[in-house]
Formats: sequence, structure tokens, C-alpha cells
Amino acid sequence: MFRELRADAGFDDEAARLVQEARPLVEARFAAVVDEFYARLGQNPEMRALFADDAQLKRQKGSLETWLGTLFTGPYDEAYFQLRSRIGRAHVRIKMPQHHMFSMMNVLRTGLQEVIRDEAPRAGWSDARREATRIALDMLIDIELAVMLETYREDFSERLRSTERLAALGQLAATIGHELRNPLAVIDTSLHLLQRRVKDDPKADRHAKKIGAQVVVCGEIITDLLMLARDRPPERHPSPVGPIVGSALEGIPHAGVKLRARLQDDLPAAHVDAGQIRQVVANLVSNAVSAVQGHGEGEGEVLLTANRERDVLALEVLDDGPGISPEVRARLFEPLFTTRAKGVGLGLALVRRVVEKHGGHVDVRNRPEGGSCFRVTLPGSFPEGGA
Amino acid sequence: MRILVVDDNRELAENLGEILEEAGHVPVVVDHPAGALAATEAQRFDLILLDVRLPGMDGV
Repeated sequence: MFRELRADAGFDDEAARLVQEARPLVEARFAAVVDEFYARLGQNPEMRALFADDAQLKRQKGSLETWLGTLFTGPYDEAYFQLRSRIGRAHVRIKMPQHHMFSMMNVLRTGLQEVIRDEAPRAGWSDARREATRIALDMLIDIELAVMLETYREDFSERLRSTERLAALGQLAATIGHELRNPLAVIDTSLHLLQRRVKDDPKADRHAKKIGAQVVVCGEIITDLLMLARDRPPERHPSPVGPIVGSALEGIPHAGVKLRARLQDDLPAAHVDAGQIRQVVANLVSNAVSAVQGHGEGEGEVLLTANRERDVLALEVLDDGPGISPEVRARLFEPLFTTRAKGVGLGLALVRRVVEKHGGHVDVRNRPEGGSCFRVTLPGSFPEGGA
Repeated sequence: MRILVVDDNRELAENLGEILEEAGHVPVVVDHPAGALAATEAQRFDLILLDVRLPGMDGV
């Protein structure tokens, strides 16, 4: 694809050479271009939040300078564009909106073009060389932009595939669920009739009870399947967070794991679909408990926190398990992806679906002290504003 | 009580009928909506147990 991109943009070897030879001219002013870039980025409050602390901003500025250096160095081969794709994917990961990426690339373009315009006469370049270099740089930045856009497209189609797969699965689950309900009802009622006749035979009675208990288990599995299938939009009502969390944690077995919930004091009722968010919490906590149970010595720990951040309800599930590898992390929210021997791999896919239907995000990071942290943000949870 | 049991799942309808019979009631079991209509025209029932969303007539 990269060869094609170069050809489309008209970025031939001569153009590449022109850009490379411009490096000494522009290099001294990279820092100024970078500063301008982050000043512009900082004008957007949402983007500023991505680079909140100074240390991180400094790191980011450093990597942008490196990026500029590479831009003027090449060689513009397969490996170069592979690396550029990886950088693009990092922007997708931090959820930088595509239109910001687009306008910020333009800030770079304008900045670099200005530098060439200013510096070329001082370096004694001919007008022809200056113009040819500026055109070559434009071509290269067009390619960079195309590569970036491609990473956004990849992300989008991956999400689409995931949604489609979940919808197909939901349909299948609904059909199977309904079809199993009927025979199960026959088993259940026949068992009821049988049980009266075997009361006096302890062994027969014991087995009848076993069948009954297993019928209940089957019924619960079917209920889960049907819940997955019912892909309804959230019905948001003011709901106290305490009871949501309480009922979510209630049913989770957590042998050998200390399970705690810490809710912000005076947390107001949140406008969410209580049933759906209960399921989100239950799935995240149940995953965290499993992660901790198989890990290390002694008692593990899972902590759930709920806080209000302006109109956002932020839920975090922290564990001190092994954390999540990059390979697993990349596929974590895909339906049917699981690392457990037991389990279908629908939990996190459902979490993501519910959260996104609330207009929110779910993300995961590894904690510096070990273990992982799932963070769910649900905007619009406190619409009335105020404290 | 005279009870009419309507369910398109024949086995389930029969089982329900048997359970009601053992409880001392008089069930009539049918497995399609047309049969249910015919039964109600032929006799009076104290109670009708009707499955919803039956094929043909949905019972709602």
C-alpha cells in the first residue's frame, strides 16, 4: 500500500531527496514548531486534558520532535510507513478525534512551510529549489495524512465487525434461548409429576431433585442468553448508585479475594439504566475476581470506586492480579474472546456495548503497582449540573 | 374448577393438564387456538390458561 501511496502523491526519489536535504535548514526550528503545535492543541479543552501533566507534555513534545526529525530523514520505505502507522494507532487509542488529528497535521504543515519560506533565502537557496522543496514536503505530509486516516479507518471497521458479530450472536442466542425454553418446561413439569410418585424411594427422590436443580441452572443460562439478545437502548432514570453496586456485587462468589466498594460521599442519583449498569459492574468485578484468584499468594484484592466528575459518573474496577498483556488488551472487548477455560467471552463485549449506548467509554490500563484498572465513564449522568 | 389449558407445545399442555388433574381440577387440554375457541363454545370454564403468541392467533 505504501508504494501506491507514494506513487499517488507523486513523491518520487527526487522529492524524497529534496525533503532530506532540507533537514539542516528546518531542524533548528523544530522546537518552535512543536511549541506552536501544542499551544494550538491546548486551545481545545478536551485535547488539553489528554496532556494534563507537565511531565507527559514534555514527553509528548519530545516524541513530536523525533517525529519531525524522521520526517526529514526517511528513508521513505515500507518500514518507515509501518512505524508511522503504529504512531497513528496510538492516536486512535487515546481517542483523539479524527478531525483534530486532521487539523493538527495542518498546523505542522503550515509551520514547516513557514520555516522553509523564511530560512531558504538566508541559506542562499534559489527560489526554484525553495518551491520544489515545499511541494515535495506537501506531498510527503499528504502521505502521512493518508497513513493516519488509514489507521482510523482500520479502527472503525474493527468496531463495525465487532458490532455485527455481536448482533448475529444475539440473534442466535435469542433463537436458541426460546427453543430451549419449551423442552425445558416439559422436563420441569414431567419432573414435578414424577416426584410425587418417587417420594418414598430415597434414591429416586435424590435423583429427581438433582434433575430439578440442573433444570434451574439451564433456566438461568437461557435467561442470560436472552438478556444478551435483547439489545435495547438504555432507559435512563435517576438511580442511586449504592444499590446498583450493592446488587451487582451480591451474587459474585469471591473466595480468597477481598472485595470492596468505595463510593464518593454524597454521590447523587445517576441518570443511567440501572439494570444495564448493574450488569456492567457485575461483569467487570467478576472478571477482576477471576484475574486475582489465579494469581500470586495470599488474599487478592478487588476495589470498585464510583465518583462524580462534572456530569460524568466514573466507575473504576481495580485489581492486584497479573495485569493485561498488549496482545490480550487489543482483543479484550471482542465478542467470544476469552482467556478463561470457563466462559463464553461475552462479558466485556456486553460491557462495551452498554457503556457506548450510554454515550460513554470503557478503557483499561495496567496499574504501575501491578494489576489492572478498568475505567468506565458515563457522561450525562448528572444533567442538572451544580454540586 | 373446570380449566381450559391452551399451549401449542402439546407435551407441555398435557403435563399442565395432568398436574391440574392431580390437584383435583377438571382440565381440558388443547394445543391450537381454533380448538380453544371451539372448546369455549361447547362448555363454560372457570379458568383459561392461555399461552401468549400462539401460531395463527396470538392470544393477545
